[in-house]
Amino acid sequence: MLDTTREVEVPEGITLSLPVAGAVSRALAFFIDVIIRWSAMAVIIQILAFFGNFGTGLYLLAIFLIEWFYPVLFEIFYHGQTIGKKVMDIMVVNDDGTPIDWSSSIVRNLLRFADFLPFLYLFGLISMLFSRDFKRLGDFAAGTLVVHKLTRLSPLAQNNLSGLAPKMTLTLEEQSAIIGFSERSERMSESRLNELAGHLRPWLNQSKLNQNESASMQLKRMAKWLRGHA
Amino acid sequence: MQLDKLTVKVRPRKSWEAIDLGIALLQQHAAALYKIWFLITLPVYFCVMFLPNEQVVWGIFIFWLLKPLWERPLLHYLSRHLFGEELTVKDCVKSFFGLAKIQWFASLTWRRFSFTRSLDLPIIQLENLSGQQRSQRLQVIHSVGSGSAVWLTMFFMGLEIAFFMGVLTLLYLLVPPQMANEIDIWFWFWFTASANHYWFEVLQNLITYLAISLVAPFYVACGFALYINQRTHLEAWDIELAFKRLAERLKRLSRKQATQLASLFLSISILFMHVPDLMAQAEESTQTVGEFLEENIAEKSPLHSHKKVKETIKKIKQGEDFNQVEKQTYYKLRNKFDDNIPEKESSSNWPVIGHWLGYFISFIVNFALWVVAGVLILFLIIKYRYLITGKSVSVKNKKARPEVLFGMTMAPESLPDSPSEVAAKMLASGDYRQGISLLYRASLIWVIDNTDIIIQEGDTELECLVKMQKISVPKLSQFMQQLTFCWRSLAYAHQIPDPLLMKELCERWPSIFATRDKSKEQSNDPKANVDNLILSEAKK
Repeated sequence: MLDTTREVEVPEGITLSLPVAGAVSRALAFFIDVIIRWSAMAVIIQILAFFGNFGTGLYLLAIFLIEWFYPVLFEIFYHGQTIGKKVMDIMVVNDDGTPIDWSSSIVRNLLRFADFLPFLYLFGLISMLFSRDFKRLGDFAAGTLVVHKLTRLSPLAQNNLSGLAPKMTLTLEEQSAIIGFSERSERMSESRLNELAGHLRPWLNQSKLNQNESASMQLKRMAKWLRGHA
Repeated sequence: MQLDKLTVKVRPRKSWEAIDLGIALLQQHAAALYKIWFLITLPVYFCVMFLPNEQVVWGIFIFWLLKPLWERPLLHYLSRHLFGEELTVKDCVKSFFGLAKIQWFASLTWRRFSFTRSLDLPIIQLENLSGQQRSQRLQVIHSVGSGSAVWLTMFFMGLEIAFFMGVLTLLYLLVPPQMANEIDIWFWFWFTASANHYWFEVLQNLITYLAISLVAPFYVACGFALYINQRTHLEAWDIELAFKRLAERLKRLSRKQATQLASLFLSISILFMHVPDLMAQAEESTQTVGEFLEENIAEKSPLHSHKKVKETIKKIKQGEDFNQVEKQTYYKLRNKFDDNIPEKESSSNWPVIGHWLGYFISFIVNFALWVVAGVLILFLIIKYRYLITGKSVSVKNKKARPEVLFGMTMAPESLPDSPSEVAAKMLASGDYRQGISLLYRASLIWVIDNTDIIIQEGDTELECLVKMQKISVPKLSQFMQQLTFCWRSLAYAHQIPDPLLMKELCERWPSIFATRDKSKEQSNDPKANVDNLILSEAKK
């Protein structure tokens, strides 16, 4: 089964799968950061232009600092996200899924110049397209990953259904399928819902089915029971 | 469509994640896809490339315009492999003309410039929809969100440009510097049609072709993955798969239960054949077990009924542990805007100015007090920092301590408790070399530990002696002179000095280096020891 996750086993023996982020979302995040950085620099240059040569010296310093430390500082103090990454909902973590630290962040950001070669980040882009975890050269050196941030489960839309305990024991995967069925039911047509629910029809409460409660309705009530009050 | 044959994990992803899946998909099939691409496009490229001089640019433009046709076999291959069908590269290339025919005119003209081209291609090619049906279907597919498809196109356009510029830059960097001076950098990056640079233009065309070739399979794969994801959102493919699997499991389970029931029935019937024997054996034990259960669980435990549980909880909640009241008194900052404290009404003529002056003064005093407090704390920290760091501030810790001098270790731990006595014993037993070496070593360590004298690793014995004579303590320097002399004649000349002298040195040693042990514990000031020495000298 092809997937874009990277499996990480934590010391407790649990396997986490991190959804690795690829070139497109990362490039867009980078583009947003570039716009932010450059507009900041433009403002600084305008202000420092009043101070003559001294101002020039200062803004060269400022450009250096912004260009190289904007990503480092954001990654360290803003949960592995720059503003662009925040917009794209991605974040940087270490290879083992732990939050990024100073040395990794500095290495991966200083090595951006290697990715930039020969021009316009060509090496970085090609590396991201052809490596397994979509890493650019800086990521290889620092041992970091860029992952999609996991989104929280949205609270179930309020409905007046009463919960219904499933008769069979369900694995975690099966439970989440039933909950997913209920949550996504509004997007789907009635016929598609019936088609999906039809697969489980023989194992639902037959007497209720005879009383005109549809299979999809029973599954929705089951989902309500499974989610409890969450 | 048989979803259970999917070779890709379907789940409702964010569209960005779906694009990443497309990249993974390409990585999996990279060899086959690039093979298909080059098999189809290389002949075409050669045709358009060898147009007459002036038309070279147009050649690559035509190639670029026809790109949707080249992309179709790639999608064909991907879609078959997604459902586990083995399609060979050869078959895929053969199907090119059949695929190219589908709605070719629209695809090459107005739809050519659509930004969602990659997402829309599967609808005409895989679902075979056209006209009204197609646009309705497009609306449905786009309803999940097509913004990322637009960004996808933008990204790969950018990648093509980056590839073109990047490779040209690389080549420019490889041009020898003598020649590079003559090259106009703008010309280098831009198509300039002139007969003189025909080969250069061919090179630029080749790079453009390679850029398009690099990008196209990715673009198709990402668009396809996006399409799969939109449909997963719309039709809940993952849920269908999960439900099918669940149904399958339940079916197996019920079958298994039926067989289990049958075997249980069988074993019970076998059991009953032996019942009389077993009953006789088991009777005693079952009775006792039953009694035990009744006594312990039913009666002794107070929690056996629901009502009692509730009562117990209530009792515990009303008990002392949950109902203690504690009074706490603490100081709270008085706020000037605090309403609870009524402000005294001033009868003064300048209530406002007085008020602000008061605040101003209090602010100054407040500020000054904080500064004083800060300075005080800083002073205390600096003065007593050895308490925190555990290191003393004295000079002796700052000076580098030689670890080895003339091949002897200078670690204080390596010395016996009273070196002079041990040395005297060694001398008495005729082991002159060991004895004098120990005595000399102990003296040096004392000097390093307890005085300002800095002895470096490379110093010789005589240099040490000179340094020791510099701090004018005659007793020490005289002693060290004699000892150094003894040590040198023993160590280097292999001559045994006067035994009486050596014995005398051992006896004098404690009186000179007596302060050693005490000083180690007490003093932070190395000078003090030398002063002591001078004092004791003076008394004598």
